[in-house]
Amino acid sequence: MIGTCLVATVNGMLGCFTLLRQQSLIGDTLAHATLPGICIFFLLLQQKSFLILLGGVCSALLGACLFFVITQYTHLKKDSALGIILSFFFGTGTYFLSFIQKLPHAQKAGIHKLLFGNASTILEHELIVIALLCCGILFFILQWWPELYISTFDKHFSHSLGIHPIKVDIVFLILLAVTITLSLHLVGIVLVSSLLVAAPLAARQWTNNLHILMILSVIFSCIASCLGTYISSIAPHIATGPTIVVIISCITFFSLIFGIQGYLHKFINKRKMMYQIKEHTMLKNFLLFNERDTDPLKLHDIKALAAIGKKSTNKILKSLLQKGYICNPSGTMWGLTALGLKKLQPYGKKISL
Amino acid sequence: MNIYHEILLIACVTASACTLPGVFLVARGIALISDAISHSILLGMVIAFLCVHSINSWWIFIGALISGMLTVGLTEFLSHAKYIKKDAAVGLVFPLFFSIAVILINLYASSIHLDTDAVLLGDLVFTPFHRFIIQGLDYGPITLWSMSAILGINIIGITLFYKELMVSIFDPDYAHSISYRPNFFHYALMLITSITIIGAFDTVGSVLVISFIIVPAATAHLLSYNLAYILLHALGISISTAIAGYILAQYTQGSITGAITLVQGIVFFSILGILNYRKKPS
Repeated sequence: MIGTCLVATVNGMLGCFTLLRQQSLIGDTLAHATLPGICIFFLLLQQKSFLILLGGVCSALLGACLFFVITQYTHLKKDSALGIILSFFFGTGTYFLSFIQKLPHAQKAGIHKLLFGNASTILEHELIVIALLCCGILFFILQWWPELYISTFDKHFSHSLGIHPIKVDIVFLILLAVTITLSLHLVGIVLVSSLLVAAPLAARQWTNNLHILMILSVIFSCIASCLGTYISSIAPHIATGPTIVVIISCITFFSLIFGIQGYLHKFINKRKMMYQIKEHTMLKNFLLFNERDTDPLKLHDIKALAAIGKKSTNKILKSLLQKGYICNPSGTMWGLTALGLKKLQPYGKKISL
Repeated sequence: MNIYHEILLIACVTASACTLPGVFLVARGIALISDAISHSILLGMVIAFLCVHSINSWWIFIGALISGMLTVGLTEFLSHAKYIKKDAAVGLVFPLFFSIAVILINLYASSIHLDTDAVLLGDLVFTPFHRFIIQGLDYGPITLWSMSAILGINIIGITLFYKELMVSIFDPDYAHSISYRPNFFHYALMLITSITIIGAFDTVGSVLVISFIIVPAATAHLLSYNLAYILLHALGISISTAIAGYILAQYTQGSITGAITLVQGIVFFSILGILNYRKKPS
C-alpha cells in the first residue's frame, strides 16, 4: 500500500504537467512503449530483475524521441504521432514476447503481470527501490519547479528567460518515463494513463492555482490508490490496477459534476445570472412606465408589469420587495421606492432620452 | 487452399479493411480515438456475454458496438466542458471502461475463454480453426468472411460518400455551410471504425489493431497530399506490409501480428527518413 501511495503521488504531480501541456495521452504511449525494452532485456538477461525495468525506461525514452522526430519533421498531427509510437512499440514488444513465451523458464509470468499489474506481489526490496526512485523524482520536480512551471504555461516567455524548452521537455520526459515504468508493477501498461490523467483532471475542477492543483491531485490519487489496494486485498479475485482506476474515475466524475468549475456549478451560475437579468429588466420596466409621469414613484398594476415582464412576475417582484427596491402598498399595485430609484440611476438617462 | 494461405489472406484483408477508416482518422487528427474504442469495446463484450452466456452470438457484437459508440459520445460530451481537452477526455474514458471490464471478468467470468491476455494481444494463428460450415460444406474461416464483409462495407461507404467525407473532414465549417452535416459523417466514420475494430479484434488484439489503422495511413499521408492517392497508397502499404510481416514471422517463428506491426513501423520510419534526406539538399 505504501508502494501504491508513493507511485500515485508522483503520478499525480507529473500528471498535472501533462494535463496542462495538453499531452495527456503521452502517458499511455510511453507505457506501451516500455514493452519492447522490457522484453529485450528479459531475453538478454534471462531472469527477472530490476534491470528489466531499466530496459523499459530506455525504450520509453526512445519512443519519446521518435515522437519528437515525427512531430518535427512531418505534417502529421500529434495524435497520429502518438498512435504510431504506441502501436509500433507495442507491436514490437508482442513480437519479442512471443519468443519469451517459447522459453522453458517459468519466470515469464513476471512479464505477463506487467500487462495488468498487481500490487500484492511487490516484494520488500522492490518496495525500497520504488521508494528511493520516487523520492528522487520528487526531488527533481522540486529542483526544476520554476523551469517546469514557466515553460508549461508560456514556452516563449521561458525561452526568453534563457530556459531552453527542449531541455525542460527532455528532463520532463525522463521523469515521466521513470515514473511510468515504476507504475507498471502496480496498475499495468494499459491503465497507467488513467493515473496520469484522472487525478489532475479531478483537481482541475476545483482550482485554478498550480500549487493547489498539485496538492489536490496528489490527495485524490492517494485516496484512490489506498482504497483500491485495500479493496483488492479483501476481495481475492479483483486486480489492484483496475480497482484503483475505477475509484479514481469515480472521483473525477464526481468533481466534474460538483466541482467549483464543474457542470452543476455552471448550471446554477447560469440560473442565477438569468434571474438577475430578469430582476433588472423588471426594475427598468418601472422606470419605463414612469416616463410620462412626473412622479417616479407612481404605483402600477401587476397586470401591466406582467405584460412586459413575461414569466414568473410574482416571484421576481417578491424578491425585489425583499431587497427593498420596490414597495407593495395595496393588493395588486406595485411601485418603486427611493432605494430602487437610486439603483436605477445609471439607466435613468438612457431611458428618458 | 491450405491453412498458411488462409492466415495470409486474413492478414491482408484485415489490414486493408483497417486502413481505410484510418486514413480519415489520421487526416482529422483523431487517430487515438481508435485506441479508446478498441479498449472500451471489451466492456460491451463482457456485459453482453454475461447476459447471454455464449461467445458466438450477435449480442456480443451489438454490445461491443454500443460501448464503442458510447465512448465516442462520452468523449465528445466531456471535451465540451470548460477545462477538459479532448485528449484528456479520451484518457479518462477508456481506462475506466477497460478496468470495469477487467473487474467484471475477474468477478464473474474468470473460468471462461474471455482471457485478458488473448484480448490484448490476439493471435492470427488460431483464426483458421473457426470454420464457416453450411450443410457440411466448408466455406473457409469465419474471420475471413466477416473481415471481407467489413472491407466491403468500408469500400462501399467510402466510395458512396467520398465527397461528403472529404469535405467534412478537412473543413467541417465549409461542410456545414453547404449542408453536408459534418457531425453526421463524424459519427458515421466512428461507427465504421468501431465495426472494423470489433471485426479485427480477435485476429489482431485490441492494441495492435491501432497499428493496423494508423501506421499505414500515416505513411500514406507522408507520401501524398491527394486523398484518393493516400487511400490507394495506404491500401498498397498495408497489404504489402502484411505479406512481409507474415514472411518475417514464419522465418523467425514469432508472433504474426507483432511482426506485421514491426514491419509497418519500420516502413513508416524509413519513408520518413528518406523523404527528409531528400528534402535537405534542395
